[in-house]
Amino acid sequence: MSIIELRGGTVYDPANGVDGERRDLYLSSEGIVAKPDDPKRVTESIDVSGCVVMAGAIDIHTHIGGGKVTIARMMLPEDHLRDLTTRGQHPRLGCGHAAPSTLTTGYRYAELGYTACFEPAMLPANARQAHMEMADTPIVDKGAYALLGNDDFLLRMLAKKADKALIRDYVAWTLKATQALAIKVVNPGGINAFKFNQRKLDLDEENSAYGVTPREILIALAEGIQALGLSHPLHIHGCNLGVPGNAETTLATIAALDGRPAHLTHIQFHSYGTEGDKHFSSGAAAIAELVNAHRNISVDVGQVMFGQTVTESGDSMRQYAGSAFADPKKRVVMDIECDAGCGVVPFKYKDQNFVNALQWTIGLEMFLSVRDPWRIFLTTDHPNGAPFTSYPHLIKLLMDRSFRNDMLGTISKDAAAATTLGSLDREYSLYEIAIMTRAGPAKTLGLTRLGQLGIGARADVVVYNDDPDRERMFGKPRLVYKDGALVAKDGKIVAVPRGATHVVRPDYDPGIEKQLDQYFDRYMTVKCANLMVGDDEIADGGRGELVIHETARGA
Amino acid sequence: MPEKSITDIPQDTTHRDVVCPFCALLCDDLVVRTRDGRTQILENACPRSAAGFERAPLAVQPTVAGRAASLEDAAKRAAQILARSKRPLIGGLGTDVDGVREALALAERCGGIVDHMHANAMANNVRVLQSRGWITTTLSELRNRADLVVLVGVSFADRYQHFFRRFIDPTTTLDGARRSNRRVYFMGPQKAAPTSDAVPVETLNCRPDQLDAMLGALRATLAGRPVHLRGVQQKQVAALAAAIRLARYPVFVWAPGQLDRQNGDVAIGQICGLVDALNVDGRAAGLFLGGDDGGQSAMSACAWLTGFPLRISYGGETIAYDPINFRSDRLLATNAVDALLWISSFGVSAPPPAGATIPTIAIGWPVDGAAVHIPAGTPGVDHAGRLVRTDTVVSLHLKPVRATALPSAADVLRAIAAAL
Ligand code: SF4
Ligand SMILES: [Zn+2]
Repeated sequence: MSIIELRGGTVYDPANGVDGERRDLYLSSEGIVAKPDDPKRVTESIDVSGCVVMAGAIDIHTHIGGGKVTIARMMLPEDHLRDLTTRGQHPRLGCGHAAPSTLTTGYRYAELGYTACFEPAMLPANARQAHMEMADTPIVDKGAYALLGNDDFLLRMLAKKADKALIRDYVAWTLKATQALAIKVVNPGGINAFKFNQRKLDLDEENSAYGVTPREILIALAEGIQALGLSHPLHIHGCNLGVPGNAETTLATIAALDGRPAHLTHIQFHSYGTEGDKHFSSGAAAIAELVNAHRNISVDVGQVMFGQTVTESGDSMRQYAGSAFADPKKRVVMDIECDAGCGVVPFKYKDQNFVNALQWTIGLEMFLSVRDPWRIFLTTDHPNGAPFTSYPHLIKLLMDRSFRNDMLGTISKDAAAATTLGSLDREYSLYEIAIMTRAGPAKTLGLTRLGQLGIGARADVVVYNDDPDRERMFGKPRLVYKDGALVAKDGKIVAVPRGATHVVRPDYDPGIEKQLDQYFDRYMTVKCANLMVGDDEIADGGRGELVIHETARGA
Repeated sequence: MPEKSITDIPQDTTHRDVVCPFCALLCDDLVVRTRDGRTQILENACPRSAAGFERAPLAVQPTVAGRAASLEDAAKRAAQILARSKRPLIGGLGTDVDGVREALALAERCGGIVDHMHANAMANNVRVLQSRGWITTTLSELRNRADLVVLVGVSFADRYQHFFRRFIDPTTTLDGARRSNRRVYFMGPQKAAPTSDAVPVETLNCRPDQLDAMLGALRATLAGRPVHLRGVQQKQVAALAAAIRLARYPVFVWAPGQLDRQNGDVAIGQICGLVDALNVDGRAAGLFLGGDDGGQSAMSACAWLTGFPLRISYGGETIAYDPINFRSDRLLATNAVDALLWISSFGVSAPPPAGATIPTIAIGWPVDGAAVHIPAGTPGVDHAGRLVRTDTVVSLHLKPVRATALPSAADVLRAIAAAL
């Protein structure tokens, strides 16, 4: 076993309480190891003094794999033609920007020091393809959250007031069948309601077909997950995404959860008020205050950045409504397999557009107003708010107040006048950045060996030059290691491991399988057994690695 | 039948829930039995799947210049041809996702152009997707939610033969009323109209080249604009429009490969425009049937791996995307490529476009005059594989139903790449 010594770096490892201390690190393929007694075992020693050292970064919410991403890829050649990679730039050709190719996605994440990425919206009906796409996303570890809450099976159970144990078993079966790490709900009941021509669904509004409300769905799933003892709580994309006034829905959703653990994703898109001449305002302050007061809640932001992107979501109801703003003018909306749906709408965020500029300020207000960095994670909801390649710029906005205020001076005057952003003088520290991009995501996802640099952690390590321009610093790390092997050096990919797939697999009563078999035979167009993604598919003849994380209930 | 290629499978095995690879519906309810080296579908066969499963496996022996060669030597010779070629075409692409992955990797290494045998048909769809997008649905939604189905020129003569049994007339659906009220319309030539014992099909008789006019008239009628058709057609369109107005989830089905070659995208655009208009106040969706012989798998896997659907080229400094100029038939007819690697692992029905006089490597089924032929098995018959269904959402893991010594196309492509 070869050991690499990283000597004298300034280490930020919040999971182990290390805040900018000078430390030596020892990396091997087995993980981070203690300083070997026999110095001859160190095969390479690198002086990284003066450099900042962190664990590999983790993106907790990024749309990297699955049908809707590939629809976006097919639909937007004009966007890709502007960002083609050239021979020699990466190990293999591809393209970047809004919906990059899987290969380029993996390389670019690694170049930025990211070593794990999580696809947050895997439809069970589409799980196999999502995993095939993630397998073709090199270098980074991956995992996915399975979508529930719009499937006719669950809604029928809820309509029949099924036993909680049955719902819990169904959640556990779904995790196993789709090889998932967590459960996500998108517009609870709303995607299904859209199939019955409902155009909006508030928290306490009944789905017309099943008479079930989003509140009931949220609570049923949150409780099922809690009963299974999953590390990551229900990952919620709430009702009324993008609708002015939806801050009220978000506040009501937090209240409805009533202390149950939950993660509210891309909270920026759910923090809109209706004040002002344009009836569009920031609801960030009130939501941040409620999040601060509720330790059961975590959020990620879904920051908007200006420029061309594409929005990809399971929320067919809201994406259909949003297609009026498609730029360029095209869009795909799908109803999917009595399971969920999707909508793919290209979009251009413009800094002189009042609404877009205010969205930008709302995201930043949220970052700066939620106090506990362990409960707020850095995302753009790639690519919905912006492609992930904008992360270094976002980090600079968070760490550098004068830069932030300079940028604030360039956006729509009306938006700049309407925001409190200029009065927020918080600047994120490197320690806090390490929490929100490493230790925090690893903790909530239950990835015990990721996001940290203690002995036994996977040796995913990033070495940055301590450049006062944080955008430049985070944009091109000096060294990136994955499992103890150098994968990127000064922004150049040097090795291409495949990356592991992380899942959980809590036990369930096999009785649910009989019910599902029958349901699939009676109503679906695949057999239940054929929907299930096997371990052999992830292992792929030894090329893939499956990591099964422990849960309180079984496996 | 090469008895000795049947190696480790028990003499008599019955497989359930078998996925059929022979058209893009990927029916997965087949019961298949292999006994004494003979494979047969016991339940839920259609003529196409019966032919596919019952076909004897290919002889395992590779050939170079028509003479028997080892796999290693054949791969070496294939690599030589590709290495000497300035602009090879990786065509056919009749394989599964793994085969597509390896084909793209190989094409990247030798600067090749990549195309699928059904890319013309799929390009009709892609033009509409890239210019306006659409609102579509999937097969389980069709089965359970559709109360009206319009088949726009779709023929079930040699593909999609289980469409009615599985989706239009299943014994059970989530909403029984929608199934029992379900009305089915066919737009196209009377003689091509599908028939069903269980569901009456009303036909709007028209020539294939009149489909876009009929769809235009239907749109106009629904929008309350005047239409100009012959008497019968006008009446039929009016009746269909009236039925659509009452429907809660009408689904419009097309098959891009069965529409007029020249302007199939016009008809598809009409359907998608119609569906868009219906969604302003109610719900409606489109659904296409296409991407057979691994076509949908090729489109999807190419899109995720490269950022573009077919057709693409690795000939330059970047990936080039050009669905028109990279057409196999055009490239071969104009001698714009100087070597051909043709992959066809689903059956004999897919030879390369005629006129290939350049050095040719055939993987799977043989090609007349090929310099190298390396037989490969059929995914889901001879070896495991994964395929994407027509609705682009569901993909299935296919398992072998008989044991042969045939490699997969992906194995062969890997062997060639290793020899390069
Ligand atoms: S309809 Fe297609 S998928 Fe189904 S059995 Fe026939 S050939 Fe196979
Ligand atoms: Zn998202």
